[in-house]
Amino acid sequence: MSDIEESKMEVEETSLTPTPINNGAYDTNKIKLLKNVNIYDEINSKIDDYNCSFQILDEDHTLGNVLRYMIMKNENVEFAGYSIPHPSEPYLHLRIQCYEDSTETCIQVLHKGLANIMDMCDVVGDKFADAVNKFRDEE
Amino acid sequence: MSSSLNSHLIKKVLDPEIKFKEATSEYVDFTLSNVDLSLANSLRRVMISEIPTLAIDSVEVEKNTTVLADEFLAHRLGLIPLESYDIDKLRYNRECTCDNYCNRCSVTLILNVIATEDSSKSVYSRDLTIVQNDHIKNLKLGNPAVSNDVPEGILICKLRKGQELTVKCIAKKGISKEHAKWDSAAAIEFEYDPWNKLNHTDYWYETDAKVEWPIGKNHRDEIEPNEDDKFDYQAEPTVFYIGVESAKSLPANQIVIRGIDMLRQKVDGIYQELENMDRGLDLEEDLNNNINNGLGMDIGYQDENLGEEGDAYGMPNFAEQDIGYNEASNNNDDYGEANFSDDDEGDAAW
Repeated sequence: MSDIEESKMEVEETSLTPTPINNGAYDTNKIKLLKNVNIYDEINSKIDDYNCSFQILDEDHTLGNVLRYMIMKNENVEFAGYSIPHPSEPYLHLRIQCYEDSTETCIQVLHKGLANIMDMCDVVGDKFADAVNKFRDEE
Repeated sequence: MSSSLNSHLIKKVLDPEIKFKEATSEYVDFTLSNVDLSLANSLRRVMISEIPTLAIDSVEVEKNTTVLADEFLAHRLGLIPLESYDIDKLRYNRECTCDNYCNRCSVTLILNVIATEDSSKSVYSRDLTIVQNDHIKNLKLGNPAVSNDVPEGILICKLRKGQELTVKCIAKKGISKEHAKWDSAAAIEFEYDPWNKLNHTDYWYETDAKVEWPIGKNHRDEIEPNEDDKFDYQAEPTVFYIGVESAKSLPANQIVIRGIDMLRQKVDGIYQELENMDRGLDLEEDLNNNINNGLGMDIGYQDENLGEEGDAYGMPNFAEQDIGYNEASNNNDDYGEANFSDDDEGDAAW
């Protein structure tokens, strides 16, 4: 995206994230739903339950790429992409667009994506533990 | 529409697989198969920069008559790897309730050396002694990490006869995203597609890349392609050759285990926050519906009161409180007009 386009960008944030009661175990305002991401671009500014942009605080390509991949695996999703709008700001933007006949909203899609990554981590973690034991037995 | 578009792309899904080639406490080498490049790369990135370890973070210099400057020594001390196996038992200093530092968020090490002999005296990381307390008793935490072949550890500085070095070091928990001294891995090897069948790599060459580039240690694990093979544009990387060399603060296999765990924790944090956000959105919707039914003023008013009361009783209803303020700041038409007269009265009273 060119500089001129970026300067046109108007980001209106809704800070609906409640302060967690569990004693700061999770960051507040970690994730936000963006409204009117780009008012000059009709397609990308489409915001409803099935076309959303999220802003995640303090995350980078470590999460962004694997999340994008996982969300694209969802058959309801037409498009998923992420960007880090500015390298010196700690934000990751995630865009999800579902098909018109989608059975899930963007939030459900993202929820499922995150859950799937956690499951994948569990599987890989278990496999690693098994592999360590197997290697030890062979030694 | 959606499923029919993607159906031809769905391949048989294989379970992730891990096979070890080599494993010592300092180095593990394994292949990770049947996962996507994005997950393997996330794991690599986490292992490089987000595994918490312990490192000296501030140094109180009591006496330094060596030839090295205080800050020079402080920097050297910071880079010494400290045993961090039980780092989970320690808090981050910024998250601790103490004023400066305490036993729950730091480990103190003392270095006290005087050279009395004519020959020069070497100060090694082994000379750092940990200040014991109840919190770190019996924990694998804070001792300078040494390898078997170099039992004295890292050379910090050398003293001439009569020179003295007395410092108090405060070691804190951190991750290498903040500073490389918290790095748990000295090196991470990461390779896929050694024959470059996917053309992800563009080799530089003088005359012939094939002749000039050496065969790596992972090449023989995969079949060498023929010259006249067609390029498979649908192929994806499936096998990843990963090697982890420990920097001694953690055993090499722990770096991988913790890497996977940290990645999971990261995702879990967002998962929880997303649930909170979603709950907030639902409440906002209910509130909007109520406003449209003519109840807006009452609810807005109640919410403001709830916020204060909630704080006082220590049982805040955060979601509602947030929305209450949000509605007010958004200057919702119904709400704003309905409260206009009230606001004026309020100002007059002030």
